[in-house]
Amino acid sequence: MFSSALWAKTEYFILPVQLHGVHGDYAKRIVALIKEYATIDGYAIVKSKEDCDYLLQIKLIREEVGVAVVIEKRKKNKKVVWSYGHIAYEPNDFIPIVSYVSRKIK
Amino acid sequence: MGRKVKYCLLILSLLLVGCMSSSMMVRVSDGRDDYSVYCDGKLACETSDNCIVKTMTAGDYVHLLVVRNGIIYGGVNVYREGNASASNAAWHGWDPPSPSGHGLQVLGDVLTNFPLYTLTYFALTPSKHTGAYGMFPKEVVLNVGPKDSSLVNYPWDQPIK
Repeated sequence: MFSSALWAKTEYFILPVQLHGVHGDYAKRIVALIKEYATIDGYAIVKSKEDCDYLLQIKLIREEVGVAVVIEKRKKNKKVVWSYGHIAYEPNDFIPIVSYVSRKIK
Repeated sequence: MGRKVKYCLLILSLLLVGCMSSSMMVRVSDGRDDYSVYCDGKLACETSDNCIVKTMTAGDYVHLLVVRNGIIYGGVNVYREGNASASNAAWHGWDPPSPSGHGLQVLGDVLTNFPLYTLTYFALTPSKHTGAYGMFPKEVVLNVGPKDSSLVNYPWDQPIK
């Protein structure tokens, strides 16, 4: 039991991405990236909200130049425990943002 | 040790410790003045208008971030420029005096004044202890915006091609 607790992965459920002036394709892209980095950094993305330890809320908000990427780690009661926001000037900028967030939340 | 010498050393130490700090004018490339500037994670300027960041670090670099409404718009590590080893070389010969061979009175004097010597020593030879050389630049421009100007009007509201 102890060893299973020791090796248990933190489980996240990704809430629907909030989009403001950004096409849904970019939501799919950033979610795919998070799943990819979850495998690298050793935490799990689960399909059921009930099974998770934390929720991930992603927001993509169109700014004058680029898109503000906001990623929030929330408790199941939706309370924000950690948040990170960074501008993306092009879709490839998602990669360092997700990489950083992934290392922080693992 | 004479009282005057002690005071001189103390004043010199404080002056030189002050010299380890430096000020950088930070500007943002898009000219906006509504960014906040953070230096090593701490708020340095509420706005990017006339932002002067005072660095107190003995390290080789500081990390600057420009933030607006909680969103990071850009960041950079600013390194000390040049190599001040030539000017530091003059200080390298300066070491705390050794008490050996001067008798107990001198030893007692040195021990009493040890903190003063230490402060002066570290102030005079920062590079020996931190590995840091040179001064930070007087002015830094933080790039905000896409590197490629063709991305300014990137069609975020369109499907990915």
